[in-house]
Amino acid sequence: MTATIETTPASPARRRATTVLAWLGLAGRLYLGYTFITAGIDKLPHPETTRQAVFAYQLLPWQWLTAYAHALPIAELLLGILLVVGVFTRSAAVLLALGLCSFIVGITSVWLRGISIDCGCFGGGGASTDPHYLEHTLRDVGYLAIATYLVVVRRTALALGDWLFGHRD
Amino acid sequence: MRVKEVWYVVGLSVVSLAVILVGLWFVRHELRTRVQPPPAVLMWLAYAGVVAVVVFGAARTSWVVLS
Repeated sequence: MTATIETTPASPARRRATTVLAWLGLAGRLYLGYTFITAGIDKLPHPETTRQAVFAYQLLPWQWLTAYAHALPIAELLLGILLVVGVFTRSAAVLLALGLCSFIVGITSVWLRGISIDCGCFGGGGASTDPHYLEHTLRDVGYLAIATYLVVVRRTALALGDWLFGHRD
Repeated sequence: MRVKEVWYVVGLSVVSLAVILVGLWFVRHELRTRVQPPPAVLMWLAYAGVVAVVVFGAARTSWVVLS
């Protein structure tokens, strides 16, 4: 016995909505991708500064700091590029969402513990007399919302992945 | 130990659990509804990785905040 899948053609309104969502996805991809490429490029040449910035959070075991400081900018850069070109978009968005959750936890935990630091999100970091915890937390929540949208929407416009691997669903 | 820290850890635990449950729903939904889903074993391995990161992050942060 062979199974058949019956498909109903999408209505014009539904097709329009899908197209709008796909173009919104493209906007989200470019914005988030550009943001993380910038963050990666800012940190990449200065691993020691990044290590000091991560150390200031007093969260990770010290043995991990050097590896984390080297891996973070590379991961940000690669995931940002994947988003901009639209290859493995949803996987990249899931990883970015996880990373953003960790940044939010890091920032709110230093805020709670009364430690005054600069977040070091785009290079720099370390002790600061003028931390912007609320601003940085809200910004990361916004980025998290975009990453979540990219996971949920499934398809975005002008994605290289569609041409390379074919659009699946 | 102050009340504020305890509530932070409670909130973090609740959010972490929610992330794990939403992830579980997401993987099952993807495997059920996608026309050509990736191999199930790959999806579940990725999910296990996410759970490990979330549990480690929540546990480590809770320990640091409460100590």
